[in-house]
Amino acid sequence: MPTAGWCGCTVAERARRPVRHLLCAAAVALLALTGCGGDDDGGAPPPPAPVPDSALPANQRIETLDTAQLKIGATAAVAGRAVSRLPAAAEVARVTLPPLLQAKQREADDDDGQPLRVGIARAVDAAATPEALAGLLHWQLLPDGAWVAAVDVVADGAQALRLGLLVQQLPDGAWLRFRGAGDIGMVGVSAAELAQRRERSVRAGADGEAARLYWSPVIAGSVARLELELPAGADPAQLGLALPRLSHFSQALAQAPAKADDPSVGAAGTCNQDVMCRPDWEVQSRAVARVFFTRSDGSSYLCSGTLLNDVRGSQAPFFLTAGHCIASQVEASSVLTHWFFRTASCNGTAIDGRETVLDGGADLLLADRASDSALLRLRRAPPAGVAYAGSYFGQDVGVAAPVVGIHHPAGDLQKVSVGTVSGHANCENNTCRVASANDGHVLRVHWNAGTTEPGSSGSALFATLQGRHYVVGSLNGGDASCKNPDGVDYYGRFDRAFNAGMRDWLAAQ
Amino acid sequence: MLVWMFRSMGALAPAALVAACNSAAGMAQGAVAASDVQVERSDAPPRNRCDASAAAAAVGASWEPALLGRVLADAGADEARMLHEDSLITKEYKQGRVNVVVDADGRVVRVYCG
Repeated sequence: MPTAGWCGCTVAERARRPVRHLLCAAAVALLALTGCGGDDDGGAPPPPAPVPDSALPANQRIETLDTAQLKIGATAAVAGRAVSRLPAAAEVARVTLPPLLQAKQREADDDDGQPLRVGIARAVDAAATPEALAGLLHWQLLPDGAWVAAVDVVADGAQALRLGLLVQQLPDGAWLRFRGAGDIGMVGVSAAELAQRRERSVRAGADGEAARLYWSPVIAGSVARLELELPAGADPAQLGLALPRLSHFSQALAQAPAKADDPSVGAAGTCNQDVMCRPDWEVQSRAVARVFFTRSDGSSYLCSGTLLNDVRGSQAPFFLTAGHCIASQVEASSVLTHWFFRTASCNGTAIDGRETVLDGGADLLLADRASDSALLRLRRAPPAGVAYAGSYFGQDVGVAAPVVGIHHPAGDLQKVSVGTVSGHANCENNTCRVASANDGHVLRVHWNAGTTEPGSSGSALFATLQGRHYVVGSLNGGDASCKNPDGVDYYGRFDRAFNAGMRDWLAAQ
Repeated sequence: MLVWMFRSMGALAPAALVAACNSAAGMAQGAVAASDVQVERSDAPPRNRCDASAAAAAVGASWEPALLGRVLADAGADEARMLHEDSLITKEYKQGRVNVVVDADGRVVRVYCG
């Protein structure tokens, strides 16, 4: 077997794979620039010793808040609930999408695989422009002078839908409301909130259609109703709203309880370890969620993230994940979080009965590029019984510090990995290089048990200080896997992200 | 239509981790692009689906770039990329992506979604 050299390239491989060879040549050049090639920290000053237990000032940490220990649960009133104002006799147009097969979606109802068909983006041609949607609306004048109209969108076979709305002109005081089949109430969003979201999206770098696109909450079933209300005095003809697309969920993401046939269950490599086999990390496990999000091109992704406590113990749903997962407000607005997605007992097959999917999106508060960390605030309260993880942002935890990762590899039920910090690094412009503890924004971790996989990005790295567990990082990536147990993972340092601006949210008095 | 491209993580991850550069001690010291070769369907919108089992026949085959297009079609995915067993990657799970893992001998050892 050939011996791997730099980048794992061998002469034989270079002959077989010229592309690989070119990239490896580029790597060698990068290494020359970065001084890459020495052992471990490459001559950098030795990192500080691990933090002694006695040196843990109160102003360098936030303790864990376990809502299961509170007399009053963490569940807050769900924002955005609304009541339909559409008269019962009002005419409602119905837009029916063609079946997926006719829509040229590659269908695979075969039973011999586990196709993942989550969030298929579909065009809604009949309502794709403001003029087209206006032609579908039959406005009703209410006694208080308000106008109301609705349209139903039907996508046969869907378990759930999200409507993608382009907002160009919506008068102050207007409301958009959504309802699915069997829903008792509606979920509403005001014109003011949409304007705020658009402003946040623009600040986060979105422009044009991306900034104006609003994804509705997940609507259960194959029929989604969009109801519009304009305030008294508004002119329906001035409405600038289109419904150019929807996301068609073949799996019922927003419906609990968990399905044993979720294609993610069992998808992680067998070296991963069930988090429920580590009762000493059970509280932290309840702070970790699986995250679904959709990019503006309609591509759907999974990452992991962790609910963070703030200094006030306010139960504001601050949520830490990776910057490369949620890089814009557009993506944050599409976020769904999946809580208690874990077994009910160590290595059991039953899923925790509290499993809950939370929709409504999130606000992107801060993205720290250097540590590839992002802080969100969920727009809805997490379910009762979650924990808000403590965090440590003082002196670096140090090389050889024992650490634990809690995450959803391959989107699977929650797993736990146990390892040690083996060094520091910085990653920028597609290059990672070794750094000292003083300069590095990233922790390098080797695993003794478990690993990480795609889907684990954004998950928290925990360290134990004075017998308590604290978040000290969030996963960027690495080469560790069940097939490569000696590989490493890189976690953005939480203290760096905290000092880069997360403190403004988490330490605000 | 398939689009061939060299992988650049920049669009996905501003501070992305990318390929493996291992010292004798096994410590990553630097990096280049994570996925050496990638193909995508250019006929948007994304389908956000991937069936790795439908592309399992690729396991054991000798790596060649044309293999990626076949795996993409068999898996019904939006994107396919080739990785090595020690490639450094960011660890988001993309619903419509299929990964082809190639060992040091140039053999496909794994096909998986994510």
